[in-house]
Amino acid sequence: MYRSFLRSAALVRPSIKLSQQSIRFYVTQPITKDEVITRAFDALKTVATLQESKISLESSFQKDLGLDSLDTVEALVALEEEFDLEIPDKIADEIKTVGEAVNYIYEEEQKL
Amino acid sequence: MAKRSGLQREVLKLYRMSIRCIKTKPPQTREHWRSFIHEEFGKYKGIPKIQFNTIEHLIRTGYKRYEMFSNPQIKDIH
Repeated sequence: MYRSFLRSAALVRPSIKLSQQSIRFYVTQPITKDEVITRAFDALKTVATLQESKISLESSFQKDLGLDSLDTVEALVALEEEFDLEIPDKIADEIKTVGEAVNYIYEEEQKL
Repeated sequence: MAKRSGLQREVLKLYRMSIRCIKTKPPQTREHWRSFIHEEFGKYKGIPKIQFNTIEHLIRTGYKRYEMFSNPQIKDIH
């Protein structure tokens, strides 16, 4: 028991030292809605079926952009990759327009 | 858009899982995976939605193949 305590103490100490040296205080700017929109549009442009279509906030994935349900899933996963989050299945089923997706991502980013 | 049936949602779930899995593959092969998944699902696009047994079977085999292909040792496909 004593030995294990020593080992853990040895493990802890350097990490404390390190964190004291390398700590920096700064605040990242909160992400703005415009930024979310431009990044989302760029990410959507990489989806094969969306390359030529005109994307706007109001366009619906299925009605305006002419995607089927599988392509919609693909577009949403592209957005997930861009923003490094995971949209749960239930919410992803509800999202029908680009604007709704952007709103959801924006709200999630605010929570971080 | 009409509300989706349980079976439709199952299919979408499998598709989403497969597409997410592409991220774990090496970057230069990702396009192959994408088109492979697209083709595999596209093969059965024409199945009438009344054929529950067929679709259920396809979902089951789909999961089996997903498990097989998600193995990190499998890196490329054509």
